[in-house]
Amino acid sequence: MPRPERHALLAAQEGIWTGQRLDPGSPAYNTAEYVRIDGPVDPAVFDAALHQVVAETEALNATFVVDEEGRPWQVDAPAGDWRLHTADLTAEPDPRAAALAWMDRDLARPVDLTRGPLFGHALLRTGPEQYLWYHRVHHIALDGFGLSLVARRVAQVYTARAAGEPVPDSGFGTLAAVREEERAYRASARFAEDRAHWADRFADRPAVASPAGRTALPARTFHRQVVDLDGTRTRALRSVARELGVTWSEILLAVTAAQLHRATGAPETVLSLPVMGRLGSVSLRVPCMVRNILPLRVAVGRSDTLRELAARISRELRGGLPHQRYRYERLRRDLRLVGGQRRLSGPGVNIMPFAYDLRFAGHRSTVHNVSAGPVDDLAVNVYDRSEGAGLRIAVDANPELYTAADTASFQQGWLTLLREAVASPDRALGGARAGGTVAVLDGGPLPGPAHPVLGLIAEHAARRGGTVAVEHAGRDITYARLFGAARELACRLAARRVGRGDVVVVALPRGGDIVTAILGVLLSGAAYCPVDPAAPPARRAELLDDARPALVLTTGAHADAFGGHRVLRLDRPEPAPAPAPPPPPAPDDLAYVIHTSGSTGRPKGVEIGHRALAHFVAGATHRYGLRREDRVLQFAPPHFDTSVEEVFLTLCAGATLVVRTDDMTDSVPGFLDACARLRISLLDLPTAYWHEVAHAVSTGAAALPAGLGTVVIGGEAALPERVDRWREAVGTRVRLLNSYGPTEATVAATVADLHDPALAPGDVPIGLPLPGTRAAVVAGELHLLGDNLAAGYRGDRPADAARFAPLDGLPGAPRSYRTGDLVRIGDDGQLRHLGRADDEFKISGHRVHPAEVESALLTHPGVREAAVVGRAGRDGTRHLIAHLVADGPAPDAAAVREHLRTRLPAAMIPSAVEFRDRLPRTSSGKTDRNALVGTAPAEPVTRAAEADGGLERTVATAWQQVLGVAALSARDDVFDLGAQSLQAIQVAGRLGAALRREVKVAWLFQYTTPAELARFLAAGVRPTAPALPTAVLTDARLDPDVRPGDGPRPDGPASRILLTGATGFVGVHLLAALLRGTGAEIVCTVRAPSPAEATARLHQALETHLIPLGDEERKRVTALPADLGRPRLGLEETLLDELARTCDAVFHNAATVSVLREYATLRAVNTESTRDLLRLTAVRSVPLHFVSTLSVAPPLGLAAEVPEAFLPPHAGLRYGYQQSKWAAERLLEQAAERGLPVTVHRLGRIVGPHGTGYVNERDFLWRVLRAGVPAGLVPDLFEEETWTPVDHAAEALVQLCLGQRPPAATVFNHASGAPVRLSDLYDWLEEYGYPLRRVSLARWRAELPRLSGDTGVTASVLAFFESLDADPAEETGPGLRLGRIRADNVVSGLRDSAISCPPVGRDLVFRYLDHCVATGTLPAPPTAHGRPASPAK
Amino acid sequence: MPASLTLDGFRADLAEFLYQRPDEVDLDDNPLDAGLDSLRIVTLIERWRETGADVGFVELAECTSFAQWWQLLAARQGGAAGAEA
Repeated sequence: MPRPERHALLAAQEGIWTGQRLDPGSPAYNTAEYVRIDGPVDPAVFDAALHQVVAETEALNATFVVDEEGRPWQVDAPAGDWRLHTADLTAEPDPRAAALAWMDRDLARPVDLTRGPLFGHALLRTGPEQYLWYHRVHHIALDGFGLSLVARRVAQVYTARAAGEPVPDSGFGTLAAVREEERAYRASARFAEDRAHWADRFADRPAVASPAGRTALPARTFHRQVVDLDGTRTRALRSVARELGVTWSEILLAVTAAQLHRATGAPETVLSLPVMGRLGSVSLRVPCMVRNILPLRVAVGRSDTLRELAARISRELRGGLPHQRYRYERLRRDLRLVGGQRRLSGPGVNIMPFAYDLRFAGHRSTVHNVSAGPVDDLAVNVYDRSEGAGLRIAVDANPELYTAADTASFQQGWLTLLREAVASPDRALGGARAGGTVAVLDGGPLPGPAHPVLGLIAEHAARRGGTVAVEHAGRDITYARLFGAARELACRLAARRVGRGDVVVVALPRGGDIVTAILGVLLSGAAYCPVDPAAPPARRAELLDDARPALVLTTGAHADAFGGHRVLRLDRPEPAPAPAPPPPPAPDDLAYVIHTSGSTGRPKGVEIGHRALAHFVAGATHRYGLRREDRVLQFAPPHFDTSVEEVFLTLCAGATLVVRTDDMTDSVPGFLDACARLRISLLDLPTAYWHEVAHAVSTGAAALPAGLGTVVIGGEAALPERVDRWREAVGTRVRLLNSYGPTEATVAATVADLHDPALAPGDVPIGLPLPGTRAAVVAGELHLLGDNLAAGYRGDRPADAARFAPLDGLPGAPRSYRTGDLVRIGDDGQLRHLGRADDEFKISGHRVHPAEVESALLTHPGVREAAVVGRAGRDGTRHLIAHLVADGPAPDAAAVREHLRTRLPAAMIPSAVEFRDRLPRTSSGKTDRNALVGTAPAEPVTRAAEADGGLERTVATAWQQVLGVAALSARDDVFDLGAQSLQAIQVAGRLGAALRREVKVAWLFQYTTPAELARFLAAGVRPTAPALPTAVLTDARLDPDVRPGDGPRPDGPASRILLTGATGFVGVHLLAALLRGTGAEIVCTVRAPSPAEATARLHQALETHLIPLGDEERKRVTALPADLGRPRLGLEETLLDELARTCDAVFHNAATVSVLREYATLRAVNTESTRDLLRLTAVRSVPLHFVSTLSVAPPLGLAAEVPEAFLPPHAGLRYGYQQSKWAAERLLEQAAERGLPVTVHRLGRIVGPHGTGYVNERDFLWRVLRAGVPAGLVPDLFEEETWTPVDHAAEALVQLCLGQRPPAATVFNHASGAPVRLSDLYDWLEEYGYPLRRVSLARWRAELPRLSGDTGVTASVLAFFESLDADPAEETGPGLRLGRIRADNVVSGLRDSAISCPPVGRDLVFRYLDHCVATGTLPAPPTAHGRPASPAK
Repeated sequence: MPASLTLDGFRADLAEFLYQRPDEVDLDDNPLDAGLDSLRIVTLIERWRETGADVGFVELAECTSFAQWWQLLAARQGGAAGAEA
C-alpha cells in the first residue's frame, strides 16, 4: 500500500493545531452550525448527498500526525465509513430544545486529530415538516466561509438527487492550489509590504484593554448570550450606516469599541477582527481553513460620537484590509507579543455578512451558528439572518475571565449603547454628557449633622474630662488635659500671630505630643501639615517649600533640620501667654495639608477643610460603628492621612487612642499580643501589614485579641488570597472593613464589609461610598462627589487641580474628583477596583507617581534619562523598576539607589535599576512605558542567569536547541527571542522526555523564561511560591546611617574578639579554634543573668563537647551576660560602647536554629542582632564575621549552583529560619557595599568533630536517624550531601577570617569536602548492625508513627515534614536539595594553610554510632557490627 | 425596476464605497488593495442585483481588478445591455 501523502499545514491550520495542543483534550475547536429546513426531507437522499459532499471535500478527508521533530503534517485519509446521526425528536415535549441539547453533547466531545473524522453530521426531525441539519467540523479543517461552501454544496447535491437530476460539478478547487498560493505569497514582495505595514502600525505595541483586565488561555467552553435585532432595528442600523457613509459592520465595531472604553476607561482598544482572507484568492472555491485575524486599533475618547468613531474605524479598516493576508500569528511573533500576558488584540468582533439562503429541494432554510470556536476574551458575533430577518448578535465570553452574568451585562450595555448611538449618532458615546449613562452610587444620608471636630472634642473635655483620650507607653492623657494643653499651645501660636490662613508644619513622631500639637494648631485657626521628622533632607526641603508654613512645631531633636523657618519647640516650656483664645475656625478654613506623590515630579499638598473633615468624621464614625468604649490603636505615621482617621474618629467619639510603640510591629504574634494587652477594639491597618496578620492568623502562628471587634484596612488592593484566608480563619467574628479613598477625598471614600459571608471567594469589593457622599463611574473611572472633597492642592498646580471638576453628566454638574482608579460595579452594587488609568503605582500604601521618582533620579549626575515603571508580581509582590540611560559611564546601581535614599521615602526607591542604551519611544516620541513594563525583569533572580546545570539549564538547553540560538540565559524571555508556538510545543515534548514527566505546552506560555519555568516545574503543581513576607524584606534593609565611622581602625593582630553563640555546637568549637589560633581575649555573649552564671554555662558547654582548655586559654575567655533576642543585644549602652572601642573582630555565630518556627519568632536573634552588631562594628570598621547557613541558598529547582556571593530574594526562602538568616546576610551585603569589612560563612551539614565522634544531636539528619533507626525504617531523603566535621569547620573559619588580612573574599561556602552518599550511610548503618528498610519519604512518614510510637523525636521530625507545603504526592519531599555548591573561596583560602578536611566515611560514622550507643541516644544494634570502629586519631 | 447599470453608475457606486470621486476610480485597481471588504462587496452585489446584473460573491471576489468586475456585470445584464457593451 502506498504511503499516504502528507502535506505541511496551512499557516491558519498551524495556529489552530498549536491552540489544540495547548489543551489536547479540549473540544473548543469544534465549530458547528445547524440549518433549519422548513419542509420534508428524505433522510436517505440527504445521507447520500452528505456522503457525496464529504467525499468531495478534501479538507474533511484528512488526519494529522506529528513527526519526530514535533512538526505537524496533514495526511490524506479518506473519512471512510462515518454515519449520519438521525433522530426523530417530534415526540419530545420541546423538540428544538432536545435537538440543541443533543448538539451540546456532541460539541463537547473532543476530536482526535490523529484519527478523525474531523466532522460530524446529524439530521434531527423537530417537527412534522421541520428538520435540523447539524454540521460540526474541527476548525483545523474549515473556517466559517468553508463551512458555508460545504452547506451550499449539500443543498445543491440534495436538491439534484431529490429531483433525480444529474448532480452538477462541485466547482471546488484543490487544497494544493491553496498551499501553492500561500507559498507564493510568502515569497512575494506583497508579503514584505504587508509585514512592513503591520510592523509600523503596531510598532509601539499598544496596550490592549479588556474588561477582564487580564488574559487567560481559552477555556473548553464559552458563555454565550444570543439576541436578535429585529427587522426594524436592523433597518435603522443600515440606514444610519448609509447616512454616515460607513457599513453597518463599522457601526457595530464603533459601538463595541465605545462599550469597551466605557468598561475599561482605556483611551484605545485593539479589536480582533476575523477576516476571511479570500479576496482574489483561489480559496474562494475551496472549503478549507484560511481565516485570519486583523488587529484593529481604535482610539476612543469619551466625547466621541458615533459619526466620528465609525468614520475613524472605517479609515483604519481600509488601511488594514489590503494587508489582511499577513498572518496574525506571524505578526505576534514579529512584535514579540507571544506568551505571558502579552497580546496583540483584545475582544473580537466577528461579522458574518453571508446570509445563506439555501433551498433544499425547494424548501427554505435558515442557518444558525452553534459554536464559532474558542473564545480568547470577549467576542461579539454578528450573523446576517438574510433579508428582512435582521441580525443575530451572539456575545461569547471566556469563562476563565467572565461570568455568565458579566457576559449578559456586557451584551445589555452593548445593545443599549447601539440603540442610543443609532438614535443620535452625534451624541457622545463615552457617557459623560450622554445623561443616564453615569452610574451613581450613593452612600445614603449622614445619621445627623456633621459637627465641627473641635466642637466635639471640646464637648468630651467638658463633659467627661477625666476619660483617657490618649495612651502612650503607659502614659495616660485625659480629655481635659489634652484639650487644656492644646488650648495653651493655640494661645502660644496666637501670641506669635499664627492663626487663620496659616499652615503650621508639625514635625513630631507618633505619640501624645503630636495629638496635642495637631489640636493646638487647629484651635489656633491654622491648618497643620505633618512632615516626617525622619524624612531625607532633600525631601523635607521640598515639602516645606510647598507647604510655605508660618511656623514649624517640633522638638529640640529635630529643630536644626528646619533652619530658615520659624520654629516653635514643644519641649521647651514657656510661660503661658495671656489667655486670648483665638476664634474657632470656620467650615471653609483649612484643617490640614497632607502631601502625596505628584505626577509632575513634585509632591503635592492636599488641602482639606474643616467642612470635609467634619463630614468624613460623621460618615466614617457611623460606618465603622465607633463608640465611646472603643480603644483604637494609633498605627499610622502622622504624615499618612490614615492617622487623621485614627486620631479624629477616636477623639470625636470620646474613645481612647492608644499610640503604638515602635517595637510593637517587630513580629505579628508580638503585635497581636500587644494589642490584646492594650485591649484594642478597633485596628486600622495598612493593607500590606494586614496581609502579614492575615497570614499569621490563618496559619495559627498568631491569634487575634479577644476584644478586637473591627479591623479597617486600606492603602492598597487587598490580596484575594489573604482575604480568603482571613475569612476562613476568622469568619464573621471580627468585622473586616476594606476602605478605599484618595487623600483628596479625606482619608476614605468607600468601605466594604469583607467579612460578609455572601461574598464569593476571591471577591474583594471596595464597597459603597461613606454616608453623606456619592461616587460616580464615568467611562470606567471612579469619580468622587460630596462635601468630603479636598479644597484643592497647595500652590498653583493647574494640571492636578483639573482633576477637581464639575461632572457634567449629573444634574447640577456637581464638583467631583476624578480618582484615576478604574472600577466596575458588581451585581451587588458594590465597587470593585480594577486598576489605574494612569501610571500611578501603589506600593506599601504609598501612591507613587513614576514622574516623581524619575525627577529624583535625574538629579544624579550620571543619569541622563530615566523611566520608572511599577510591576506587580503574580504573588502580590510589587516593585518599582528604574530604567536609566547613563550620562557617560553607567554609575553603580547601588550608588543610584543610595542617591535616591537621600531624596525619597523608602517606598519610592526602585528595587531594580537597569541601564540601557536608550529608552523605547512611542511613535509620538513619548517614553514607551508599556514596552518597559513588558521587558522589565520578571523576578530579581539575577544570578540564575549564570546557570550551568540543573533544571534551569535543561530548560534553557531545550529552548536553545529549538530556537537555534547560540546562547540563552535563564532570564531570557523565549518569546522575546522570537519563539513560536510550534517551537513551544517542541520544547514541551523534549522537556517531557528529558524530565520523564508531563510538561504542558500551556506552562511554556505562562512561564516564559527558563528560570521561571524551572521554578514552576520544581515547585510541582504549585504555580507560585509564596512571596517573602514584607517583614523579612523590611528587616533586610540596613539603616542608612550604618556606614564606616571615623573611629580608630583596629591595628595589628586582634587582641580582643567578640564571639556570639559560644555555647552552641559550632560556637564551642569556634571558641576553641579562636583560642588556639590567636592570643586574643575572647569575649563570649551568653544568655545568663549574671557574669558568674554566664561563665558557668560556657564551661559547661565546653565540657559537654569534650573540649578541654588549658589555664592560659581559660584566662583569655570572658563570658558576658547578654540576650541577643533583645534590642542592642540586651546590653547597656556603655557596655556596647566599650565593646565597639575595644574589640578588633566580631564572630557572630549565635542563631536560633529551628526548622519549624515562624520568621517573626526568629528575627530578633537571627536578624536584628546582626543589625546591632553592624552598628557596633561600623564605628571603627571592625571586621564582622557572620556564620550563616547554606539553607539560605535557592534549591536546585531555582538555581543550578550555589554561588559564593550574596543572594537576591528567591522563592526558595520558605521557612522562617532560612528567611531570618537570609535577611541577616542581606544586611551584611549592604554593609559590604558601603565598605564595611564583613565576611559570611555558610555552613552545610555540620557533623560531629572528627576527633571525638560526638554527634550533633540537634542536626536534622541525626534526628531523622534517631527516629528511624530504632524503628528499622529510613527515608530516601537525598542522594548525597557534603558533611563537614565541626572541628574542621571552626578551624577553617578562623583561618579564613584571620589568616589573611583582609580576608581574600566576602562569602564562603563551607562545603569543600567530598560528598557522602545517603545509600552509603545506610549501608554503614546496616553494617553496624541496624537492620533497615529504605522507603520513600512519603512511606516513611506514613509508617513511622505506627512503628516507633509517639516519641518526642519522631513527633518533631514528622511535624517538620508536615509543615512543608510541598505536594504530598511528591516523593522527593522537600524541595530543599541544593545545586552544586561552589566552595572555591574556601578551597583557595585554605590552600596555603595546613588545614584540610578530614575524611568523612564509614569509620567516622561508626565513631558517631559508638557515641550514640554510649550515650543512649540510639539503642545498641541487635547484631554486633562486624568490625569495631577504628579508634580516633 | 431601476434603470440598468451603466459604466458611469458602476463608477459612481465604487466611488461611494471607496471614498473617492467617480473620476478618481481606477478600474485597474485590485478590489482588495482598494480596501474593500466582503460586506461592502455583498452590499454592492445587492445594489447591482436590483439593476438586473446578477453576480455572485465568489465571482466578484475572485477578480483582481474592477475592470474584470465590469466585464462580469456587463455580461450578466439583460441581453440588450450585453449587446451594447
